[in-house]
Amino acid sequence: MITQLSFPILLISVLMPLLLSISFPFLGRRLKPKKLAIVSFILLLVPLVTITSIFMTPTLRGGAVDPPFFSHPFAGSFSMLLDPLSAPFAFGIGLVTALVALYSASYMKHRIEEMEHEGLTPPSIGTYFMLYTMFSAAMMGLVLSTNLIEFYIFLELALLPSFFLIIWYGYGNRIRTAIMYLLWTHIGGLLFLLGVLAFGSSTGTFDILNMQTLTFNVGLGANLPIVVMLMITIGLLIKMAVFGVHIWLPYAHAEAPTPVSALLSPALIGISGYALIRISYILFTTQFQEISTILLGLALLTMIYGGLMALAQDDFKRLLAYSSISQMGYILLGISTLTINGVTGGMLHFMTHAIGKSVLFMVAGSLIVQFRGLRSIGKMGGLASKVPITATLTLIGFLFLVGIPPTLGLWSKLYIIVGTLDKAMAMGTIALVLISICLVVGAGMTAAYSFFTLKRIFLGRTPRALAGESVRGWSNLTAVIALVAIVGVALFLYPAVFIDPLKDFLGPLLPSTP
Amino acid sequence: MAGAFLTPLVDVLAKRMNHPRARDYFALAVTVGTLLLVVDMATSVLGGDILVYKLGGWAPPLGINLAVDGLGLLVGLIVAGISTLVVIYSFVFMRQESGLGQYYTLMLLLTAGMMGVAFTGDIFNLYVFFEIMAISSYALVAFRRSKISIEGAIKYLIVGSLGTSFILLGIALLYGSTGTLNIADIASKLAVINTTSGSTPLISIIALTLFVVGFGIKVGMIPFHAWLPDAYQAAPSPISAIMAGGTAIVGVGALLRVSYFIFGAPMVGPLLIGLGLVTMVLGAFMALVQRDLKRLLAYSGISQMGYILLSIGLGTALGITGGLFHMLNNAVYKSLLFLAVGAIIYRVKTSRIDELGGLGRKMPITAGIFLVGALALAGMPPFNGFASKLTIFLAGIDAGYPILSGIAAIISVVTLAYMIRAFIAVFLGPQTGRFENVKEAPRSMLFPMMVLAAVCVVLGVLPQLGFSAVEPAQEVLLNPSSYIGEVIPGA
Amino acid sequence: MDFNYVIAMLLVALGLYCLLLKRNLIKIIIGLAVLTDGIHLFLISLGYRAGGTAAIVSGEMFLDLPGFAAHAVDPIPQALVLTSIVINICILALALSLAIYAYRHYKTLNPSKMRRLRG
Repeated sequence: MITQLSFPILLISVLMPLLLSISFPFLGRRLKPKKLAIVSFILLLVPLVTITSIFMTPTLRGGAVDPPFFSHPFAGSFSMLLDPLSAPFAFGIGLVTALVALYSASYMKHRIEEMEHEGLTPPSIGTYFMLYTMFSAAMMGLVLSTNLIEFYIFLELALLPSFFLIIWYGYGNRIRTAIMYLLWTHIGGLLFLLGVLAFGSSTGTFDILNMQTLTFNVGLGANLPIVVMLMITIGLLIKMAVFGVHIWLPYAHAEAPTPVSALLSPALIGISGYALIRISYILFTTQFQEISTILLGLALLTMIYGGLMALAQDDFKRLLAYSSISQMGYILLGISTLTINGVTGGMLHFMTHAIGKSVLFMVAGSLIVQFRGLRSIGKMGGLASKVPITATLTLIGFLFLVGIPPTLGLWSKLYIIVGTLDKAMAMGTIALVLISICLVVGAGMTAAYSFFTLKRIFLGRTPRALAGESVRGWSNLTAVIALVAIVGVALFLYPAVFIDPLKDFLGPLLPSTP
Repeated sequence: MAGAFLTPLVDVLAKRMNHPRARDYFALAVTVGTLLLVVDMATSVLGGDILVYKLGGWAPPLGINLAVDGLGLLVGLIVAGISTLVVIYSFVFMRQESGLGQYYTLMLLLTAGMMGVAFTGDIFNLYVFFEIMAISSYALVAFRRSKISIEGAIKYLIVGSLGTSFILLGIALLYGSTGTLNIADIASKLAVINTTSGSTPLISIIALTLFVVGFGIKVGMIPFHAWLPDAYQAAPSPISAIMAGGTAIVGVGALLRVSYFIFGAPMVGPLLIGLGLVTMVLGAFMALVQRDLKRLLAYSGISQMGYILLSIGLGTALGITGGLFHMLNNAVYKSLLFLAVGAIIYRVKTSRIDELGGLGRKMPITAGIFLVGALALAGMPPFNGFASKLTIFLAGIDAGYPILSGIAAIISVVTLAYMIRAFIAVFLGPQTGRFENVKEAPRSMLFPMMVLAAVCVVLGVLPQLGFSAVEPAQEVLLNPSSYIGEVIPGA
Repeated sequence: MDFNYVIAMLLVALGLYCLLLKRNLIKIIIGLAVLTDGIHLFLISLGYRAGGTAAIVSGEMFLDLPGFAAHAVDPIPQALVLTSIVINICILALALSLAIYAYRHYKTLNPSKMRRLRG
């Protein structure tokens, strides 16, 4: 059951980093990057600690909601909610953003020096941390919001800083990339907003959670035209970059500065998966069920397409970006089954992916730092002897994606596959065969690009250009990556922390499995 | 009380002989005084009152009267606030110019005209104040007497005079059919005519058309917009700011007062929606291809005007609220943007987008302020443009025209595209050697910009403030009979 | 009586024609003057009453005000027209001075040849 907190502690924990981040450009003049990173880390630790402590309190397990803190003339009340559905997301985001902040210090120092070397004058590192912290806090606000308008506001608040992070510190043709990213996701956002407004105008409320009774407005949209639901869903799918509307993603995620890629790629796009359940499903139960089969097909397509494209990439970061598309396919697959196992797996896979992909992006970043901007896989090889720890971490990162113990990926993949097979069996023999083939192909593809990449980077002969390089095996960068990986492995041992409440929560909401 | 508008008018006479420094502060004192008077009136008008001041003690509908209702107050508040800030801004910006005595005189005259249009209760006086406003703005556009300013001014003058002539003709037709000039009286008499004849007489339709064209020219409604980009580009930046944030808003206010009060929502609504839609779409696409920063802002102002008219044309309470709120917001961020461009021109001496670049390092505060304005214009949270655009979208859906909201949303993406393009081109990108010694804008220019930027944020975070400011205006438009009753007791 | 209105509308039409189609600033300004004069004529005609007296009350006329009102012309249009004439003098003066400046800068009075501003 959801409990109303007497004090808006969730709000404060989100707003504190959001507002205090404005001071970073000024702090940046006095403090060294490393100290700035620690301040940012502490600020982002606040929501993480708050969320963990609330979630670990047995009485608040069923969900905790802030007292409404803002009532808009027509948008209803804004509040923040932590419940079993949002907990894995909030925890994943809190963990990754806080640790990547630590990682940012050395990386961005390198990146800014590199840009100055090219004759560019990027804004100071203080500005970077301001945008970074804002971006992180806005994502946290996004998953905790209880109102559709509030959700949209946080969506845009997350978009803007990430846009500036790409345009100021990105690689390649960063202005074009950033504009493409901004416009695509803004269009997705506006589509979502229009759908939301149409919804609100016919139902008279924008609240996902009814603040008086503290129950979800389940199936509120039963009488709404399907168009409204489609607008919201398509808007979210654009943000999620599923097949067909994914064009912006490889550019944006490959060209963003690496710590930002590590947030953009797993966290921001995965939130759309959360919103699909939280908004599209809970508010439009019947309509969502009608299109779930289409989504299932789309998910399989996205999964296979992303895998194929990832296999064909030479740029390490671009490969990771395509792999994100493929993993989004998995999340969408889990959701579209609408079975308890599938959805649980999809939600859990967000966390798997957030941890695994941020580890991989950070590894890519540390290779860039250690080998002075090296991104092309073709120019790598035999690096395991030079950077053994990085190689191990890369292996762990890919294990998350493929779903091999000892990583959380095992559980999330397992649940998704079980859920999908449940659904497929209900759909008939032909569907079962087809979907099974797709699943096998998809999983095989993931394994293929993971291990193939691993081999190309770390095994084989070292190219002559890199042979003479001497690098430190252990650096601050690897320490942070290791920390993230350790948490991920720990979660492999205790996945029940998230799985049990999720199942309890989703059980009554989903149609009973045949 | 309602003499607020008179203050600048009277003081104009005493202006000429002042010492330069004293003149600056005198102009400031006058505008601040006006602002304070308006704020003073605000308390009672927001409480639901309508203040009526009978000039010469004649009771309406016979004498000339001033009536401050919610709409007038809203427009007056915007005008007084923006004029005050623009005067502060002009201290430094215009320092190198000659003939500053005329400059401030004209500026105060312009303010007086705008306040008069906002507060008058008499349609012929509306015309007179409109002409005062128009003449002083023609002269201000031509102020520098350079090639482009003369060209901009003369185009503005020809088209603008055509517009005011149409308004005069419209007034003559209305007088011919009702025999009165008091807005409230005309409204009640026309209503009687309409009910007795069972339909709207042709003459009122012609008069309405004349008003819409006349005010449409002033507002820059497409297809009557051709003069606007020229004039905005040619005028000194503070004047562009006051025209975008003041004159255009006054034009909308007058259009609404005349069309809504006299002819009523059902007749005007579809017209405004149609014109608003065209204006919004074409304005945005024209802005997309501009190479001059001020011209770009001018077209974007046209496009925003489309949003306002569209939303008000919906005729629902929410639509009118959204439109008026957007009008308020548009005045704030559009004048902010013009002032920021003025700061760039002050330091760099050009506003052509392809000549600018990399200014963000040299003028970080201006860049930040410009960014606030640009994002507010594009309707991004947490700035004020978001709050009002959200209302407009919702109003469109609510009124049963989701397609309008859809188009408005698409145009909003276009808006974001051109504003971001402009921001990148001006403030980011490689620095050209020409701008090696460029410094941040002087403090007295930054101050008004900061105030406006702060308003953008405050209205965005706390939209209730904006809603409560436009609510009386919305009530007045939706239900003009209270105004009529207040001005002519027993009517 | 109707004749007045016809002339007024002709003047308005003539003024509009000059304003919109002529390519000479002086002609355009003349067109503006003609247009407003047409409107003035229209306004005056509205208040005109054939054989009416001036709307000035003096002496014994006070004794028979309704009777006076039945004979006097409507004074309001006259006041309006006076005001409007003054305003139009300002506009014409400004327009002519601008035309002089324009000629100095561009050596032409054709507004379509003044093309520094475009886009």
